[in-house]
Amino acid sequence: MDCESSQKIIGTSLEDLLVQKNVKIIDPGRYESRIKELEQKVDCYESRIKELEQKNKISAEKNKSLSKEADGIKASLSKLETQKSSLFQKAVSELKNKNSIDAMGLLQAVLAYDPENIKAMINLAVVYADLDFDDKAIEILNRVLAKDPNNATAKTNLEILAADKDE
Amino acid sequence: MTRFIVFANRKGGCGKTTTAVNVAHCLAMKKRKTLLIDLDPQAHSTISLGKNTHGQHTTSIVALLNGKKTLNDIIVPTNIDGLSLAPSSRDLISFEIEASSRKGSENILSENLSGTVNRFDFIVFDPPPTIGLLTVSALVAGREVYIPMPMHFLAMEGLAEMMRLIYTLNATCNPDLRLCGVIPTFYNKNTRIAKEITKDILKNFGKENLLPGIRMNVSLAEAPGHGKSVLEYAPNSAGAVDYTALTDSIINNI
Ligand SMILES: Nc1ncnc2c1ncn2[C@@H]1O[C@H](COP(=O)(O)OP(=O)(O)OP(=O)(O)O)[C@@H](O)[C@H]1O
Ligand SMILES: [Mg+2]
Repeated sequence: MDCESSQKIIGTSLEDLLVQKNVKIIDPGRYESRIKELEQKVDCYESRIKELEQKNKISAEKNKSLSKEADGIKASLSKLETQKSSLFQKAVSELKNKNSIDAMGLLQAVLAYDPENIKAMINLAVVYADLDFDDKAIEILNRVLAKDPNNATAKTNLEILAADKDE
Repeated sequence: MTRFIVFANRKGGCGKTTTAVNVAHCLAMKKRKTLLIDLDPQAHSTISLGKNTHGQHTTSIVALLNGKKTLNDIIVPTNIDGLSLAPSSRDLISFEIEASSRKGSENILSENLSGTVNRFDFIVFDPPPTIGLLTVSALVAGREVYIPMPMHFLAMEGLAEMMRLIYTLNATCNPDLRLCGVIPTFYNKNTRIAKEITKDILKNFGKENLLPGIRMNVSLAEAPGHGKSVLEYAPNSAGAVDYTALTDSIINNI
């Protein structure tokens, strides 16, 4: 009785018979666990995708505010550009009117924005010379030549100033 | 689309014919146009449906296999609405012996079924209990294999052998053929051996491949003598109930 309850009635299992006959059946249980495994992976990918989408959204917003900022900077730059050129125009017209003191202020302002502006430097040298600050004029013209050694206007003006000094 | 189903087992007397006849009848009752092809020289399906096999060889399945007739020529109606029969006759034996040595004979049946079969929802094959040309022909023409088997050890051995055959055919000439279910026959679910074999089947083939069992029922053994299916002979018997349930699960098994 004991023996009967612990031992199988069929001495050989179907599995063993299939192995004997070299028939490989794919265990349906294995399919199920594989499917579960894959489903879990899909879940994982889905939440990762959501996460990335969220991140994407945030960076898109950031991008938007950054480009707004950049637009603002560009706008103020172009404003400065117009201011600069209008300052220069004013300076030139004051020069023409022989209003050297005002022209000097305006040109100095142009150079504060744009220290490399050669035209402004040459004009400022002319104003300095007009106001009898020859040393300052020479110094500026030399600075121009240091930047642009072939600048003809600077060379001629320097020569004139040197001749004046000799007199 | 027509479904091609084979009740096969190389073990004799396991209930192939009883299952083929009664499932075919249930299918027809459920409005599925059905053709039962009797491929057994014993002609037990033919007899079970009340058809006389004497002196009829020109109209049996042999004529189709010999290329003398078309499927249309050999099909006979039965007294069951929606169920037709391609009858067998004794000279199937000589066909099997003769044709077995010829190459490609296993394809003859399948090739001769094309065309006419479209008007049926189900083609049911009842092959003999040997793995010879006739059974292989059914398995080449079929798609779904159902294996009726009593819950005995030797039957289980036969099941393993059938699996090997299915796999061999998958690799050679019929990749579409698949096991669609084991049908426990002469079934008494209370015996320990039935429980153990059931468990083994579940473990190896999964629960979708274990179909509702057919209990031992004397009406099933009596009905063929009256040329009737169990549904005509004893519609309230356990046999009729079990085959109705089995047919439902075959219909839904796609
Ligand atoms: N569930 C059942 N209860 C009682 N008798 C049954 C049952 N199933 C089948 N039988 C009887 O068992 C015998 C064998 O059944 P059947 O002819 O269906 O088997 P088979 O597999 O077709 O046999 P064969 O291998 O000779 O073709 C028949 O006499 C049949 O009437
Ligand atoms: Mg039979």
